[in-house]
Amino acid sequence: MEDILILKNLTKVYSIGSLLFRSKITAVDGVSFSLKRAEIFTLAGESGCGKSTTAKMILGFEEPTSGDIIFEGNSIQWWKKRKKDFLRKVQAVFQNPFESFNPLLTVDDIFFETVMNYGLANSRNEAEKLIDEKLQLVGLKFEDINGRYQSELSGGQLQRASIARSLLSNPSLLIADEPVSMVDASLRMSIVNLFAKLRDQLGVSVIYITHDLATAYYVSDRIAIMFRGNIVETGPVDKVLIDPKHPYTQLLCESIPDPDPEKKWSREITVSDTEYEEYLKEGCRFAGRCPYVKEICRHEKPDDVLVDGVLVKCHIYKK
Amino acid sequence: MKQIVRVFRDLFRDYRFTVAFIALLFLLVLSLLSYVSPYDPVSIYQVPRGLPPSFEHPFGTNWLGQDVFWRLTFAVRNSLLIAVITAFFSRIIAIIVGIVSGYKGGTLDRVLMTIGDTTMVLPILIVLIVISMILKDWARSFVNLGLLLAFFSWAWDARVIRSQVLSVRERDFVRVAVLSGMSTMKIVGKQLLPHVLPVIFTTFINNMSWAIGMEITLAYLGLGIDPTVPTLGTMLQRAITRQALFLGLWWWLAAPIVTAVLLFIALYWLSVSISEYLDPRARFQRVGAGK
Repeated sequence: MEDILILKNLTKVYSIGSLLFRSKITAVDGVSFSLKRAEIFTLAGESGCGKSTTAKMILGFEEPTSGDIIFEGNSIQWWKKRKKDFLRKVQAVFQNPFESFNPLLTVDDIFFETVMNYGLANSRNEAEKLIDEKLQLVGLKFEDINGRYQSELSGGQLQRASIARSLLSNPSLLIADEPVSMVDASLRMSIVNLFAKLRDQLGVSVIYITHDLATAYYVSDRIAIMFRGNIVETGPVDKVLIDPKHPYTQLLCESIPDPDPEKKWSREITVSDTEYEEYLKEGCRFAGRCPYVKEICRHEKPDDVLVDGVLVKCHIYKK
Repeated sequence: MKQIVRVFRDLFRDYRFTVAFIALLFLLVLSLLSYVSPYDPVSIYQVPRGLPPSFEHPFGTNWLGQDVFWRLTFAVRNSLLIAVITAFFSRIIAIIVGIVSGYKGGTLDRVLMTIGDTTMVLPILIVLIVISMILKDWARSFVNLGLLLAFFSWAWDARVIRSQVLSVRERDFVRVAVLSGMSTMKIVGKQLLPHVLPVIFTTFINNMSWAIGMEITLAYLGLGIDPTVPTLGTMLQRAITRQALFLGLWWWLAAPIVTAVLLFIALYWLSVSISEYLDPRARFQRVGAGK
């Protein structure tokens, strides 16, 4: 199947500090992956590992420092001149439902804006029908949002409305930036199921950004684990999460508590607070926490190695 | 409509707003009375000189044979006019600069803010004195003086608007608006501007009182508006240069001073209580969280 989105060596460097004492933080460091049509691809990792920055670069909210983004065969620079067509095909859902709607405007306003700006309907009646149709997908009705303000709806309703809005233009790629982290468990499942339905019935590709490995395992086809701007492991979700190769992925999977009260955590989980240092570190960024650390890890950046259908960025597997 | 009523009911809980509102209303009526004035505001020797306040001449008459009360109605009107012109033009500059540099950011932001900072650190009063001395006749019209004052007062407010835009710009609903295909102009007008309006409104009032003060200062030095045209400043200047106190005509001096003080207090309290109302934290303290 053709790749709908290809990221090549995408890098984002932020400089902080004043003119004289400037230091650079590499938020995203050489990220490459590709996304097929009708596929759910998960980007997982801890807070501040560059997941959202990657999403912002794909959407064009941030300018990549270097690297390429290729969407439907054309580079992002080519799409930049056709911004409207691009945004019509690539839509996003954000984490915080209370921030996704302007508190001074009614919720239906942004729906009509979307319909009008992309020319999706010819009359108000038609627009209402289209909006109602998309809202039904997420279990809402047009009456639920019509003339209501953001403060009059619950967080769950708002998040579902936010998803419905992103579906109005029938996008081929949906970027969901932690869409379920602020909704309750039952709603979480129905939203995740909705993504699966979109993939199976409408052929939408979804980049699902999360730190919740359980829903990632449940819904996604492939997964990429990010750590400090690097993708450390990419592969089919059942291989990566059931049999993790990279020491960081192993640490992540171990930190999921078992639903068995008798079982204790097998190993002490240590969380380093040296985030800043890890960003600036030479060699492998995980070297400071890695149980299998070797001398080479501290000096040399590891390359991607293909192990059992999974791409791993680690020196252990180097031949 | 119901919302407007509710807003006003909340605002009137603050005694400062109530006092300021009534005082402003009073001054507005006063300035409107100038349209039915029986006397010409500029001509002299229309009434007997130096009469104390009486029923016929509520604020007395001055040494030039003018009725102080009716002159005052023109003065309030003209001073308010200059203030509104200043605030209007400086708001236009401040809104454009604030929104452009806040939303676009980068080099443009740095350039605009540097220009703003430069006008901010100038000793405005001295510069204004020099300019109005050089452009003596030019600065005599209301619009020109308003423009001159506006040029020196936009920078602070542009910074305030910019900071507001900076914080709103980063919120997700602006990103959603981009995703919904709205153009930049439309996003600014529909998504950003409503969040900036309260700031624009309170700075408008502050700018008005600053402009009135500046006009009085310039007029006191014999600069700015034509001294025969009544404004609060020229009235005061006339009374002082004509030795009103030596002549014992205290009402000649007191009328513009009391009116100016009243106007300042009214505008200041109005802006303070409105900005307090618009700041949710301060509002909870006043109105109470439960209501």
